[in-house]
Amino acid sequence: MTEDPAAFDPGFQLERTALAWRRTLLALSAAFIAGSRVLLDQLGAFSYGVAGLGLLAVVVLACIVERRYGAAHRHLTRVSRVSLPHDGALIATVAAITVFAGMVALLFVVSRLM
Amino acid sequence: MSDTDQRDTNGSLGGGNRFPRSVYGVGGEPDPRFSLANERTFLAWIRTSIGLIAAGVALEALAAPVQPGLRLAASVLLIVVGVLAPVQAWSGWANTERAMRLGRPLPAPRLVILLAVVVVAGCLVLVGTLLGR
Repeated sequence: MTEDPAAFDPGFQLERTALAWRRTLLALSAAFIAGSRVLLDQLGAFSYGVAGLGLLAVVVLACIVERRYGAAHRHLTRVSRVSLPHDGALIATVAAITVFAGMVALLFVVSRLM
Repeated sequence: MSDTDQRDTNGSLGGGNRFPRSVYGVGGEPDPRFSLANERTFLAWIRTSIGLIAAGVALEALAAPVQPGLRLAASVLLIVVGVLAPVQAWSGWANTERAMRLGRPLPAPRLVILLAVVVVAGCLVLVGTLLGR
């Protein structure tokens, strides 16, 4: 229950965004896990290292996202006007991780030519 | 939510030196719902990118029954667009957020048409090859 129901997240914007973050991070995790299996022949045990690094980054991001939305959720249920903790750093990090995954994928495909 | 309300509340949760300065250094706080929608659009692009990369890798890794040269070309094309998509997603997010802070019209999406053309072309090539076998 909220202390001020009128103030609480009309349209479930916050929850929808949190869910979007979760499915994006889950998709990235799946990509790293599947990628480590696909790259096993080319990279050997190193592929597990790459996947581990990727998964670690995803876990750290997930913790940050959950904390951020927890804080915003608490704030939304308490006051009627709020500036959410927006910041481009999370956005840039996710974009960079995806570009990194894409570059590894490109190397994998090109390496099959040789 | 009035303009004054949006501008007065910066600081309790956000505020400070937010990254990037090119976005947060200008204008006032937009309605948070629009910022959240912008963020979800970015995330949808990231998932599209992951899908494109996965499709490109799967074509090669699973050795799809397609003429090898064509398969490699389609695979590289999918992955290259998959790598470009997060870059576009970032710049699109930043431009949109900036436009909202300045109260300007939202920028037009840029990579969408290229992406559509590439996906349709890739599908046609693959279907054609599969049918021609």
